[in-house]
Amino acid sequence: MLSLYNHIVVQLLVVVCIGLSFKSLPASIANVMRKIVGFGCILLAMVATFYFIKIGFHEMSAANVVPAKLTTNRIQWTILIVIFIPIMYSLGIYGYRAFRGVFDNMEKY
Amino acid sequence: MKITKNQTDITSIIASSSLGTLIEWYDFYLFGTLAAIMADKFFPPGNPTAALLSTLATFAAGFIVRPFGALFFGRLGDLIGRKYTFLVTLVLMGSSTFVIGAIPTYESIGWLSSFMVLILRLLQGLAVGGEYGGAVIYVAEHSHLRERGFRTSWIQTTPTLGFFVALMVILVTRQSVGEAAFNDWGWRMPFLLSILLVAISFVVRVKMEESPLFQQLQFKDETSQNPLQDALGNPVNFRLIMMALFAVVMGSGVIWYTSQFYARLFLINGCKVDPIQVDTWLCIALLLGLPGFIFFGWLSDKIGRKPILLTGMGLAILFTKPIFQQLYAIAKPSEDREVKAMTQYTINALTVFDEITPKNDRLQTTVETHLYLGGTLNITTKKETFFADTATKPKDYKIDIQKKVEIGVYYKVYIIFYLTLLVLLVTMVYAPIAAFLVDLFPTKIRYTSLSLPYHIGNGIFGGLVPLFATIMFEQSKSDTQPFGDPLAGLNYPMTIALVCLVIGTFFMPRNSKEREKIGGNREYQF
Repeated sequence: MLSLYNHIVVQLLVVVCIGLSFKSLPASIANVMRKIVGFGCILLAMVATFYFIKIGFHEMSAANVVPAKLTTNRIQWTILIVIFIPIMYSLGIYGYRAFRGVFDNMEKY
Repeated sequence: MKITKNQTDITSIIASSSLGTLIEWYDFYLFGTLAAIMADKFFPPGNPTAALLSTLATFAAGFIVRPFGALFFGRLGDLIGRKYTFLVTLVLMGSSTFVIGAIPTYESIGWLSSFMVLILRLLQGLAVGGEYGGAVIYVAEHSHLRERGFRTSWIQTTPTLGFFVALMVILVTRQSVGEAAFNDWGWRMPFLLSILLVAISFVVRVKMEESPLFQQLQFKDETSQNPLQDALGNPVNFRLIMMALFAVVMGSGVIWYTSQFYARLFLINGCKVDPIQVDTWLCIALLLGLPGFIFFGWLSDKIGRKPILLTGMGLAILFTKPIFQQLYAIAKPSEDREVKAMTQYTINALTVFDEITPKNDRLQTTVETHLYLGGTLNITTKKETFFADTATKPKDYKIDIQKKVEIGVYYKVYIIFYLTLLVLLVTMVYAPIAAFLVDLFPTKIRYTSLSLPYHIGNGIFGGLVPLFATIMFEQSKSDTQPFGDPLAGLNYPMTIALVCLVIGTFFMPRNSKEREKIGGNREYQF
C-alpha cells in the first residue's frame, strides 16, 4: 500500500491540489468536482468502516489465542470501533450532501 | 468596540495566553513521552508489549476524551466567557499532572494505581479539550482580522514548544539523576514540577480581562443561551464544523503527530537509536523549525490560509516517506557500509564476559559491535544464562537481546536536518489553522464550534497515529518479511492527509468573500 504514495498518479494529484489551492475554479467545474469528491467520500466511508470492523474483529478474535492480549485488544478495538464508526458515518453524510449539491451554490446559504 | 489598546497590551495578551497553553501541552505530552516508564510502573508487569499497548490505549483515552472536553468547556466558554473557562482548564490540567507524579506505583497499591492513572489521564484530556480553543479565540478576538494569522501563530507554537519543554525537562532530569534513578523515581520530577508552572501561569492569567468581542455580546445581551444547540443544531454551522474537520484539521493533526511524535518513536523503537540522542536532536529540530509557525501565520494574513495549509499538506504527503526512508537508512546502514578493517574496533567486535551468579548459574554476556562509515555504531548485547540445575530454568525463559545504535557525528547533522524538515512541514499546515477556524465561526458559538473539530481532528485522528502505526507495522510482518516493513506505519497518516487534501481543495473557502458565502463568520467589518 505504501507504494501508493510513490505512484505518479498520486503525486500528480497532490501537485494539482496544491496548484488549485492558489486559484479558484470556475463555479460550474467546482460544482462537478464537489459532487465527484462527495461520491468519493461516500465510498471511502463505506470501505473504511468495512475495513475497520474487519480488522477490529480479526484482532479481537486473534486475541483469544493469546490470552495475555485478550483484554487489551478487546478494549482497544471496542473503543476504536465505537469512536471511528460515527466519524466515518459523518464523512459519508458529508459526501452525500456534497453529492446532492448542498455545497454547490454557496450563495444559497 | 476597541479591539486592542496598544502594542504592549496585545503582546502581554499573547504572552500570557501562550504561557498557559504551553504549560498545558507540556503536562499533556509528558505522559506520552514517558509512555514506556508509565507502562512499567502502572500496568501489570509480565508482557511488555501488552503493558505498552495499555499505556498507548490510555494515551489514546487522553485524546478520545478531548472532543468531550471541547464540548463541555466550549459550551462554558460561550456561556460565561473565555477567560474564566481557560482558567478552570489550566487548574484542572495542572492538578491532574501533579497527582500523576505523586501516586504510588502498581507494585505498591496494585490495580488502584492503574485506575487512578487512567482517571487522571482522562481529566487531562478533558482539560486540554477546553484550553486550546479558549486561548486561540482570546488572542484572535483581541486582534484585528488582518493580523489574526500572525497573532494566533504564537499560540500555534505552544504544542511544539510544550513538547520541546517536556523533552528538555525529561532529558535534564534523566542526565542529572542518572538512568537507573530516573527509571526508579526520577520520572516523577517532571510531573511534580507542573504545579509550580501552573501556579505562575494562573497568577498571570487571572489578571487578564475578558475578550472584547465577548464583552460586546454580553453588553448587547446577545450571547448564546444554548451554545451546543446553536452550534450543532444549526445546519449551516454544523456543515462548517464538518468541513473544518474533513477538509483541514484531520490532515493537519496526523501530520503534526507523524512529524514529531511518530518520528521520535520510529527512531527509538524502530531503529533502536539511543533515546537521549533522539531527544537531543528532536529538541534542536523543534527549535530550528519554530520560527516557521510565526512566518507561515504571518504569510497567511497576506496570501490567505488555504494556499499555505494545502501546500503544506501536499508537501507532507510527498516528502514524509522519503524523509523517513533517509532516517532509516542512516540508523540502519547497509552491510556494504560496514568498516571491517578498523583494528581498534575488531578487538571489540565480539566480546564475551562470563560471570557466575549466586545460584551457581553461568551468565554469559556477548557484546557485538559493528562500525559503519560515518562513525555509526551498532551494538548488540546478548545475555544468556546457562542454568546449573536445568530444573530451575523458567518455562518462559528467553535470551535477553538488546540492540542499540549510536549515530556517528557525521550523520547527526543529517538527522537534525531531516527532523527540521518534518517540523517545517508541520508549521505550514498548523500555523494558519487557528486563524482559519476563528474566522469560520461567529463569536457567540465560536468556542464550541472551533474546539470540536479541532479536537476530533487533532486528538482522535492525530493522537492515534502512534497506536495505528504500531498496529500497521505489526501487520506488515509476514513469512516473506518476518521483520515487517519499517515504513508501514506511515500508511495511516498519509492516507488521512491525502483524503483531507482532496476534500480541502474543493470545499475549503479560499478567501473571506467565499467564506461569507458558505455562512461563515460575518464579523469582518467590526
